Amino acid sequence: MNNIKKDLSYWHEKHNKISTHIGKWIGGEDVKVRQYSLFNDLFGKISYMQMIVLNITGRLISKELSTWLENNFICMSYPDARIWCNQVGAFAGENQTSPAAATVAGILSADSRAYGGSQTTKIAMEYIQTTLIIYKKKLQIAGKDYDEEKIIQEIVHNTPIKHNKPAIVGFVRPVDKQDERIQPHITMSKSLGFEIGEHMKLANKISNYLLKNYNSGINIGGYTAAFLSDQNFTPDEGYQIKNSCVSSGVTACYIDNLQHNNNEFLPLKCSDVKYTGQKIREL
Amino acid sequence: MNNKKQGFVYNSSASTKLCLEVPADSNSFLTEKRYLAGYDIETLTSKVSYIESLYLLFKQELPSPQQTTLLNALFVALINAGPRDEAVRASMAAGVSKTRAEHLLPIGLTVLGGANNGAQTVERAYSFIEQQVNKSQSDNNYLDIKLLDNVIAKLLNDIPNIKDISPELMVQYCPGFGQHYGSIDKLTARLSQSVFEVMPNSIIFSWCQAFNQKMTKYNVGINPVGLAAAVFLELKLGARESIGLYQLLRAPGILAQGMEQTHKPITAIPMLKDQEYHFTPEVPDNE
Repeated sequence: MNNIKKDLSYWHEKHNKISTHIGKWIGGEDVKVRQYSLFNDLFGKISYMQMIVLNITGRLISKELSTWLENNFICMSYPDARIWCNQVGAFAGENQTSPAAATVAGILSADSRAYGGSQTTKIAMEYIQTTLIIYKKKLQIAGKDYDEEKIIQEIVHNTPIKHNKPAIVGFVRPVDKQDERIQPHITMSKSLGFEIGEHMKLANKISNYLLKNYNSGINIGGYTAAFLSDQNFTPDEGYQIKNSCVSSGVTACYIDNLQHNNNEFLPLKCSDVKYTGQKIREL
Repeated sequence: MNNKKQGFVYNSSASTKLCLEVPADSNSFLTEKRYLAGYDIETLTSKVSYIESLYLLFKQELPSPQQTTLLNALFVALINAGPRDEAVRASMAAGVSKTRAEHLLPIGLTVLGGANNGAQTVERAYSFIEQQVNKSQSDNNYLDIKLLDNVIAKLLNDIPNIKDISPELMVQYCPGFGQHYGSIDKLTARLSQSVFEVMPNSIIFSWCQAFNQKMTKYNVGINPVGLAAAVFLELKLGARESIGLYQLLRAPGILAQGMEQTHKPITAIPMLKDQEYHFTPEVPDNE
């Protein structure tokens, strides 16, 4: 976004024109995607995930990083309708919406500050990137006789407590279970040849402290945030890349309920919702 | 388990203070009676307006006649932002391109949700106006002109290079106020005047008008987001609630403008020619 003053001539200059760096469709011939020709440089040569990241960031990422992201996406969309975004998909299925409506509704509901891997990726990346700067400063101030556990403790206790735990996005799950996705990601990262970067090292230290003191370690959001930060993505790019990562689980729950009769998904009795409002009154 | 180690504990049932559903004797899933904030929906249907029932949902009390008139005036003033507004254009583009009709409204409302003078900005404008009004009030809850002058002077002092500031940066400093295509939005200023006249004694509206007047020389004026925020604040409907309420009041225009296009051929809205599309690829530094 440019921050120049916009007088009338600016708007006349923009009138009836699109100016862009992202690409151009040349009807009947080719498509330009950034500096690449779609059919000469990309088609049949790169993965869909590489294309997604290219369109968002302008970076043609390596096959390895693309594979990492694709596997990460696979872990972000469970076909289980208890998860909030999937529940939205299930209701959409029961109501027989179009698949696009169901999936988009689920993606929108996962655009949450509490879970979902899109907005939480941005928040977690902002946290780990800012915290690394703070951590380095603290190390510098402490000198060679630094007490690392004390520094991590200071960092952790600088965040508010919610649900009896430090509210650090990426380190506590809304469900109290260890994240089953971490170990497979560690194994994958190693097998694809990725080294543990400085964001990940710090994330592991914070995780160990939280596990010891709060029974909650790093979750996939925190792991992904540290990894993507080590791959030089900005928090906004992380948000943009992962914006639709829950989609396949949502669509699965949509499909599961598409043939059901109305109200069959998790029916509620009137008494299942507790009323806490005004007493019955006359107008 | 150690309390520190016990985290999320989920309730066994959902709860609401907005709606009571009484089941039928023969079927506990079937609603026999529905009450909104204690009032029977069947009675409300014949006795209150849409605007009154909307207010009831958010405040759990019915509005006064003056509050009803105010909210109604706002809903009329902003019912249609016109066919050049981003959210309306999104709905129109979908409509003309034969998108499924049920998607038009969600498409427009989703676009409207943005932070650049969209629905998100209403929340920020609500908080901004609330803070500034609080700073400008005397102990006996009157707008103190001297205090107001000081508050505005400090605000202007905090905005760097105010004469050359972009609308995007202006949103950061005084959400709800700014420029439209480089000029003051005079139509919205007049609509605000008309809406504010419903409550001539409102401190909030007086502050908005005074601020608006002071900002005229900087080519800055109230915008639709500011107008909506001021009214929602006057009615104490809540900053976060204002986001969705703004989408709700803008919905009819988005829907009608989009729906109109569905009856036209896909060629009814221009598509730019190649010579009007300027593509200049940028190679990233790390490539």
